[in-house]
Amino acid sequence: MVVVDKGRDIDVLFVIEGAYPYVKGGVSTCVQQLILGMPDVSFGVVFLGSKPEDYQGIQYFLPENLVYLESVFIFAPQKLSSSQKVTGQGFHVLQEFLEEPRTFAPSPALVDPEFYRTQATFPAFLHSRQSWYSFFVELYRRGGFTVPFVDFFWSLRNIFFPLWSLASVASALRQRRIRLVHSHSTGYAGLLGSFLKRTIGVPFILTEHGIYVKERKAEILGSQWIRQGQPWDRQEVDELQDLWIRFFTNLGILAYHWADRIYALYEGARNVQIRLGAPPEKTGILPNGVEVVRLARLRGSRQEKIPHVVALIGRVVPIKDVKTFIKGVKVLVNRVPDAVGWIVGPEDEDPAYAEECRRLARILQIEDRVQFLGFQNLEEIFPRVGLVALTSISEGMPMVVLEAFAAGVPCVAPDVGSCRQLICGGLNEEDEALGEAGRITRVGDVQGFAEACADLLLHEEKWKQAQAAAMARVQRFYTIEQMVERYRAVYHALGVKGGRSIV
Amino acid sequence: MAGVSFELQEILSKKGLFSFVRAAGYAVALSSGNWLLATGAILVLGALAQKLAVPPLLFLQYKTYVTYVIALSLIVSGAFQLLFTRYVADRLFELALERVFPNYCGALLLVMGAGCSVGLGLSFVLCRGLPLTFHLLFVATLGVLSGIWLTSSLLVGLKNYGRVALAFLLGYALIVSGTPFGFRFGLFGGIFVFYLGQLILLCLLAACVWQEYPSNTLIEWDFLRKGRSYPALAFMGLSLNFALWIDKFLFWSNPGTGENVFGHFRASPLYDVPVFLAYLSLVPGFAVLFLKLEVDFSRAYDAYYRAARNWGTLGDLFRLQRNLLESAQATFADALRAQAVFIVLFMALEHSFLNSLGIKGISLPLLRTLFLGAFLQLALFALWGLLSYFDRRKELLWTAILFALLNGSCTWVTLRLGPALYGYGYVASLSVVIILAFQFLRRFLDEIHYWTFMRPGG
Repeated sequence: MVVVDKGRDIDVLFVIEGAYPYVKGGVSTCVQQLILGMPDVSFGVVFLGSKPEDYQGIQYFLPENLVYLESVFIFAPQKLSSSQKVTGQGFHVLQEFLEEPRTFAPSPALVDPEFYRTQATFPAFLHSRQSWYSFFVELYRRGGFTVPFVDFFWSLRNIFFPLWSLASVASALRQRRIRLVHSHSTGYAGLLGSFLKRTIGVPFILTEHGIYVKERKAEILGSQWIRQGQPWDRQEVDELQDLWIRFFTNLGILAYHWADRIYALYEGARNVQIRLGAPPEKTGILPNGVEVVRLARLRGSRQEKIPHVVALIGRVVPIKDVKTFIKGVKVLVNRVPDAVGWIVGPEDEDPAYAEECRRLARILQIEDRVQFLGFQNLEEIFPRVGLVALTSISEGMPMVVLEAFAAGVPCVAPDVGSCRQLICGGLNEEDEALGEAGRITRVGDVQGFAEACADLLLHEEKWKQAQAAAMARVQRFYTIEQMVERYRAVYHALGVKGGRSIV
Repeated sequence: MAGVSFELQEILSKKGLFSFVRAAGYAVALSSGNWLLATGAILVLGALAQKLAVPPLLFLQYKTYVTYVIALSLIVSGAFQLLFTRYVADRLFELALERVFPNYCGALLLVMGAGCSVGLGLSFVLCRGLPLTFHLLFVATLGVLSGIWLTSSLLVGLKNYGRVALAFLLGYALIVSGTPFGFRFGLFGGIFVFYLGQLILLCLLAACVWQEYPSNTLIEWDFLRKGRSYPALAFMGLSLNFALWIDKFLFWSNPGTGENVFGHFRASPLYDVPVFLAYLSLVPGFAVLFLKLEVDFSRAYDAYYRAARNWGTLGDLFRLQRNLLESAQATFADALRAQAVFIVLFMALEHSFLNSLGIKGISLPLLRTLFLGAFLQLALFALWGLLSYFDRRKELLWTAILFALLNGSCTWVTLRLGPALYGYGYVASLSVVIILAFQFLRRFLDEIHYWTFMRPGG
């Protein structure tokens, strides 16, 4: 469904899965900033969503230089086109998607829209003998599956269902003049990027804000949806979960294979990409940026005295390990009697977990010291807190840390993702010389967490040092302007030169 | 995180994969139940008229009239019997019990209306020259009988055998006891008693439906809405019933084999008695067929589909497919074997048998040919029953149409070729259709997994 089409050539076509412009979040913010930051470049966006009813409309103001926006709902029911053949010889090729990732060497046909239009059509996938015998039956037999065939069958249908809508989107976009394709994740977005790379032949870059394959895997292993119906024993569930994981892992390999450049937010993530199959020579790092100018104004509204408030800013979900934070506050109160912990973030994602957290605070008898504030405007939070703290067991590049830095708040964070790089400076020697913008703790270390917080809250000179390092670091390396310039340089190197129309 | 949400299972949900066909599974085979009931009725009433020692001509007129109204009403209602039984079975599967009765009323109104309209049209041909009361009675009787066939096929399809049998017994007891009285007023009195008895029978059957599925709504036309029922079944029912009567119509109308009885009602004494006897001989074969379908085959059928729907690995499905194949073969073979035994017995004892029934002067060679035809008819009904179990509506329709065309054309040809070949048209057309139906069934069963998963609903 084309939402915006100004009929102009597209310099950079973003392929975005489950984010801009329908869902707010880190990726979406970054995308909006890139579009706003390069008014001389014309952008297009292909949004990939599950089903229309899963989204509440466009959440962002669409800039002038967004010349094309198409929404594709890959799990929405599709009409069978009667013009397409109900036969197909290509189904053994489709099997590659479920190969062992170690040996997966994607055939070019897999990202060729023509292949899906002639060799393995959607009607044929659903109804032909070819797909039945040389796809479903063969895969089941070769894989030695023991799950009920009906579950295997529906899993496979669901896994492969979106391929055809992606192929037809790519086909339709062949008409457009596009200079560069930029996917913001692997997965379905990476697949569409690969389709476009192969059909239009323009450069294709891939940036990952998180590691898509890892996130999918965690989601599949943790989710209950696969276990509908009868309670199969563990072994059987795993076969189907394994199918999904293999598919997403291979989608990652496929996108890495077709991308011209692959970027991560920080070094650790880049290494994970390489481990997941990204050729090292294509990889690079493009850190995010925050609106330092806007946030820096908040520093003025701070009181002289350091507020003894430690704020965990993030969704109340297990991956953020809010319980360690609560226990940490308990210990902290012993050292800093007037210390208060704020938990700032929505609780609706995992209400059961949120309830457990509240109960923990009651059991520890610090329910008056731990406040659940829900979703808040961070501009009102930053000036009133002494520290922003994270206790997550996993993070990518947490934007809230950079925002806190810009607003003049040091951070205490566990040694996961890019936290060490942000707090201790890890980009280069200059960065390191700026000093520590807070403290790094070990994951799940309640005592260490409380010590670190107490150390900063009780020693004003240390806190001031950390604040100075934080502000200097974000100003020097993590501004929006710098992020935009880095992307511009990447686009430029691949042949997209802005400035034709506006500048 | 980025990424589309992950609740996928609804997209191509399991619903609709296995449409529910069990209850209506062998509706086709059961519609032969109506046909047998009708045949029985014709013979019973014929024998009754004879026993009452009414004048031979009156006896023949009565029998001919009854045969006409039964045949015509079966054909007219044939368009609704399968369609509506299936519609109700689907509603029962959805547990929409309250929909049954109002839609039944709708269907009843429609089928009776159709019966009366056809009756009205034909009365100008058949009853030409007869008093107006004949016209009216003919029209009303066709309407009532059409309603009866619709209702009894519905009740039998829902396995209320006992009630149907009881209702028919009562209805026919009334007719039998009232007919001597009726005949005092001539032919019209006799057929009026027949009409009254059928009307009471219809009321009894309709009361059964009401009792089983009460509802607050009186009438609905939901079964006519697109997507709620299967038009193919209407054509199938129509063709099937037409095919079963076309040879008789041809024998009646052919100058050499048929004669005018009264008005423009015709009969073919040469053909009618043997053919109804042959049909009646199918009772043991049908009994075995139903028993096998109901007991053995349905078990294998359920086992396969339960495995396909819930628990079976591909290996399990192949194993259960073999079971299903064997069970289909056994059902087919056992029914035919029982029938063959009966026919052999009959042929050995035909003289004493016919004498004991008081039937004289029929052509034995024709009778034997028609016995063979009835045997093949049973085979075809068995194949149809199996095909309808698997909801192969398209194949059912095509074989029924083919049977109608072939039975008509082959019978027409044999009528031209002379008495030696009478009955062989029926036999030949059945042979061809059986081969075709057999191929359809075999090809489906060979690929049952493919059809089940990739092409549910054909």
